[in-house]
Amino acid sequence: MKFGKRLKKQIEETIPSWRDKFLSYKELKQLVRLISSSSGNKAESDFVSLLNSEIDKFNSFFMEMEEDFIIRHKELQQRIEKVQKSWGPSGTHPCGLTYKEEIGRIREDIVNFHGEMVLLINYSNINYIGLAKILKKYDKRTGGVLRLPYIQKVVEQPFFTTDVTSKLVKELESTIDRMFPAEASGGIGRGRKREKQEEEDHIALLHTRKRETAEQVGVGEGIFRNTVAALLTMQEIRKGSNTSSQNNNHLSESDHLIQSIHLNFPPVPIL
Amino acid sequence: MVFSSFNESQLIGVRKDVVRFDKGDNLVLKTVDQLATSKAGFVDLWTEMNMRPALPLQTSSGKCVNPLPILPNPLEDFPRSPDPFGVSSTREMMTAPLQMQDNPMVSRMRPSHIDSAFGSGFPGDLQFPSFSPRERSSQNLQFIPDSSGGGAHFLPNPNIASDVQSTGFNSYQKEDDDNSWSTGQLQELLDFPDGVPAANDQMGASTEVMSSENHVKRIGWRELAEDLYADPMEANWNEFLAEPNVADPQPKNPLLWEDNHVTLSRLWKLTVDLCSAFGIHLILRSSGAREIFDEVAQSSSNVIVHQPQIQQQPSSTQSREVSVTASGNTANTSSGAQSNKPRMRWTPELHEAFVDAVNQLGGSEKATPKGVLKLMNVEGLTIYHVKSHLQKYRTARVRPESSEGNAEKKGSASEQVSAVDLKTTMVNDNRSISITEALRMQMEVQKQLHEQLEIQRKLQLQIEEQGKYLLQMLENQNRMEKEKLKSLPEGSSAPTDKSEASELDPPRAGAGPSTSNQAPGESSHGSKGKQKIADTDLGMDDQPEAGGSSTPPMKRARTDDSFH
Repeated sequence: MKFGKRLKKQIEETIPSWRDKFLSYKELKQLVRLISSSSGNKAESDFVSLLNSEIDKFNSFFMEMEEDFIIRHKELQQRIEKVQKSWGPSGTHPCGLTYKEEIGRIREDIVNFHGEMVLLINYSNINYIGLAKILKKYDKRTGGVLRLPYIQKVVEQPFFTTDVTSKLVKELESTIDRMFPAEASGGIGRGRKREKQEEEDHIALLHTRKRETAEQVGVGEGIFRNTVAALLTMQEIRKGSNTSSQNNNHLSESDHLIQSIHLNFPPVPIL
Repeated sequence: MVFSSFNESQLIGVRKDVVRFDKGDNLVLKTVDQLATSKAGFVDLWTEMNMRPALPLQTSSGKCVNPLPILPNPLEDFPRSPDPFGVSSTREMMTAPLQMQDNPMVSRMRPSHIDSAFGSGFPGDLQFPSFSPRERSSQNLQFIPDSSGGGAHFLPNPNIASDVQSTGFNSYQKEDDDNSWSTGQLQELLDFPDGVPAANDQMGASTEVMSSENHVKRIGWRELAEDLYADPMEANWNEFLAEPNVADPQPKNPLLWEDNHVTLSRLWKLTVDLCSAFGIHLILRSSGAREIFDEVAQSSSNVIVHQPQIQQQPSSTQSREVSVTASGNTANTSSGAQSNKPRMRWTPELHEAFVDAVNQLGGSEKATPKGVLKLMNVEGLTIYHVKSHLQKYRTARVRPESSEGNAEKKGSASEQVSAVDLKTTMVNDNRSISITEALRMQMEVQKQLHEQLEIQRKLQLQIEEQGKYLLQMLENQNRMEKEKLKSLPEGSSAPTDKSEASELDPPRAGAGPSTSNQAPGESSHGSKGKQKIADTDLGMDDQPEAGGSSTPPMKRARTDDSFH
């Protein structure tokens, strides 16, 4: 599948409010096509100015989301602290929620929050890929050398420097290990073998859950689906664009898992 | 996988059970599923491909399939190309990028550096800035105002040799600024972004991840890089070399080698556009990094620095000191009072300070922006920043549950509650495990995606870093050669040329094996990326040299530095 199509799919499956924040790949491609060797001036400058405005778009969106994430992260931490302190003896919170409920909520929120952040990083990444590709096309078309310096600049842009968000993600991951009691499976970070079996079970369970909570299409499932879709896209990018590896199968176990999840949950645009 | 414009005869023994040709006569490797049914294995295909003789670079398949032995060879086949961009004149403009190389920090995180490499083809007015990074003495809360857009100020004197340099700063300011540099700002600029350690930590982490990952994944990423960056080299080679036997017909740009002057002006225009886009200021400089900024301070042009890495330092010391790297932005913000145009980038540390201030003032409802601003006492922070941030903060606090979901939540908090209720009731059933387990699974998937993204990102950075580095090496090489030629009397220039020319082939061949030799010495993921990168960027340059024999060892040393 071509990148343009993959990008389109990603956009379809992403969080609705994000949809117009992605790279206008098609538009840029059209501009590149317009560039002729003789009088490419207007098309070229259009191209460059569109590129720049896209980057502005990415930057402001990304920084906005990042700011939100920072705030929410702190809030989540405070909630957890509160729960751990005041509800240690599993008493009842004044507002009537039980300890369990709040923990349950926090867990869900953590997971969804985590997912959203990862999706933002994915957003950044896929836009970068798109930029790299479109610059490649541009250079090919014009024989110019725009790509190298431009991409150097891109690499420094805020939307690409996802370190802060990444750090938050990792912090959440360690937090969640504490939040999820070490049950039979022994926490989030498990070995791969056990994982596979368990995850196969989970697929079945998830199926059940989906049917039962069908009307509760909340954020969680949407994010989950998006994440799966994003992983698939990355898989496809890897598979479709590169040489086969020396191993027989260049798709890892987890990749197959993702595919099977995908089949069970055909991505439906979140409305 | 597709090999475009592949000449079948060039492949020894195409295995029909493994590959097929699609409509566009592209060689397509059968999918995993297809292959699973046939008995062919990928291993066999690899072996066959590897046994092919060196193919000219035009064949993209040669690159994609067989990066190791084959890629260096095609470079030998290319004669020295004519210099369409007057690059030779450009070469001498490049001064002392070696300065940067001395510093291991620099070599480690080039892309994070302020450099801008405008490619070899640009008229000889651009230089790669070479900063001497310095250690940051104290951790600061970094406030980096960002402004988008580009007002360009450059001293348009393309013909001044050797001294024009682009600062390569990321500044995207919408309006024209007339700020001069303060010493503090210069300090900030010259300090090496301390995001390097943080980033390096991540790199370390990711390499750990890599080693524990499936071997296959690593290869996947390398080839992703190949695909991403394979083609432009091909394109550039063909255009630069103007060879009649270009197997891959491209729309030949007559401007390239027929009319250097026109090309130069086109490129110059592009440069201008780029500069205006990012507010990069081309400035005159004499020498050394320091002087750049001195001169900038003296000149009326302004430069705004955006160093996103700085703000991401792991600032363990909760110092309230914030260095604003561009007071100009502050000036703008206050003058352009209504708009929040210079977009500020909040960091967790800044937010901590914010929360502290708010709590001191009695909570998010009671606290006023003005009070918070005062309490925080952060240089460069404006009331508008605080205002908007406070608003967000309040929203987040009021409905912590629903704010987690944001706009995509269909219902209000009540729906959320009912979902939780359902789940908690299910907790009592056997299927209850499914809730937690479902969450776990979701988490796993997300974690996976995150890991992969990290890996991919590191790879992308590496690629660009290598590209820049190699380009500079080549510039250096050419510059040194030119100087050599100049200093020698006429009579001895011929033998010198010959010796240099003969030097070309061995290094090129040497670059290949030496590049591959780096593999064991590094993390596998890094090395694979590097090999491809080396090839990629060797191809990207308009000079077919792989650099002198000093290059590979230097490169190895550098990468050893970078990757331990």
